Amino acid sequence: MTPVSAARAVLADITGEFERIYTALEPLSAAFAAIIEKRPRVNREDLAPLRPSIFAMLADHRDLVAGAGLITAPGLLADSVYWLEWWWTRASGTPEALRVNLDPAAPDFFDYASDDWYAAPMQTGLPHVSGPYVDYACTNQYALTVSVPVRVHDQLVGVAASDVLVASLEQRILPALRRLDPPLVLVNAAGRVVVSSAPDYAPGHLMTRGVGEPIALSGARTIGWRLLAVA
Amino acid sequence: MTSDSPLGVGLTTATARAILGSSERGGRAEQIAARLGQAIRLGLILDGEQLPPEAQLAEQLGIATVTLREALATLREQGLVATRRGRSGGTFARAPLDDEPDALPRRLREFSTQDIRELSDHRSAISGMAAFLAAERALPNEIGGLQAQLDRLRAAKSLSERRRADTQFTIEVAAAAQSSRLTQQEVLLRAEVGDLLWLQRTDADHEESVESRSQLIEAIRSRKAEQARELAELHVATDTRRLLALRLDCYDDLLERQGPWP
Repeated sequence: MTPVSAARAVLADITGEFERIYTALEPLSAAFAAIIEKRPRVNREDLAPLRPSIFAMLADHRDLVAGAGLITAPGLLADSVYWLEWWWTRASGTPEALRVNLDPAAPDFFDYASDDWYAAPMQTGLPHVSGPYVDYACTNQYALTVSVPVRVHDQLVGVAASDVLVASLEQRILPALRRLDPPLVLVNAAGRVVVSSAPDYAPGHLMTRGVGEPIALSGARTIGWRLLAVA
Repeated sequence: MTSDSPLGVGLTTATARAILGSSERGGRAEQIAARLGQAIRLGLILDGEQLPPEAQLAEQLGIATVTLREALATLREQGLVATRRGRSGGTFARAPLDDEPDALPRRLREFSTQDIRELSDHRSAISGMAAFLAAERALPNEIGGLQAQLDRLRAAKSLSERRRADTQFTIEVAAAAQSSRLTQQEVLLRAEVGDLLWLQRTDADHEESVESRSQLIEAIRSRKAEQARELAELHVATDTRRLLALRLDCYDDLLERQGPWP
């Protein structure tokens, strides 16, 4: 295998990991859509039956997924303008509900409607990977969020999403990247490093335009991610 | 280490402290009481807000129920929580009044001028580096988030709103630096001493602070990392000077009470 085709194979593996997460989000998304479709008025407690599916997703994908849940479109629920049915896995392994301030008048309002992981899939109607970013509202880890829009008839009612820790993704990718020469840097569409086998570039670094030679582009599911070869 | 060593068998104090991960004095319950008290003073827990049931709160904080109970007893003595019995009973937060005449000197007297200088050094290292890295690493959406948070800070009227908006801004700069450790440090610093930074702040202080934050965003946007660091350090230095002046004033009160040196 040539280095370029080997690098493409690594990128295809990464895409495969995200495909598995998207697939795992589908039943969750469908169960959420069913609740919204069935009832004329939905309150936040009506989303409680989704918890077993969320916990199952967290348990089945524990090596990659650190948090998962559903985020409602503002105004969708009858009793809360904003709501997240979001759970994350504590070190002990038990799921814990995310608590954030959802009062728009509060200075620490968790304004998710403008966050990329929510806004992008809601605008495009397509699955999205956002980050890496510091998830300071939840576990304070360096994370990616994989999100899919949830549709009821023709209307988008929210997103189903899960958080993937950059550290966990690295465990999957670096052994394969390390076998390739020259060193490779995986960057997101904005040029932020996700994983790198080059000691000069670590996760979070913003690659200067023109540094590194793009040798592989990711598939549609991880839009615009690139593998750069660096000397 | 042998058993006849002067230290006897055991870890050195420094090692034990490193394992415990805390430079705070006192036991676990005292630390929890201090942190909870700070959260109430900072308005992270609102005045009159009911605390979760003891078992639930202890679990969320990752401590034993008995430790929490001990911490709550301390807070009750300090008047920062009140417990009501009966059907609508429970434990409720009680924020100290901002205009309570004694609150300021009492809280400030817990800190020596050296403590304030230490605090300043620590904040400067964290906030300065966070600003530097944010200028190198932040993407437009993160800079947009900082701008939105600054607008909230500018519009904030009450002291507690300003505290929270400013805390959030500081945390978001560290997050824009892509550093979860620096973010965590900013959170801990605010929890430990956040209320001190807001003692006797005037509207003019507020406007100066908003202007300084605004310049910081500009430096981050234009990727001037050194300038961003300097602005953040200057912000801390301004706070520190004000705090030291207030602290020194407290000694004048003491002088009046004690009388001059013989």
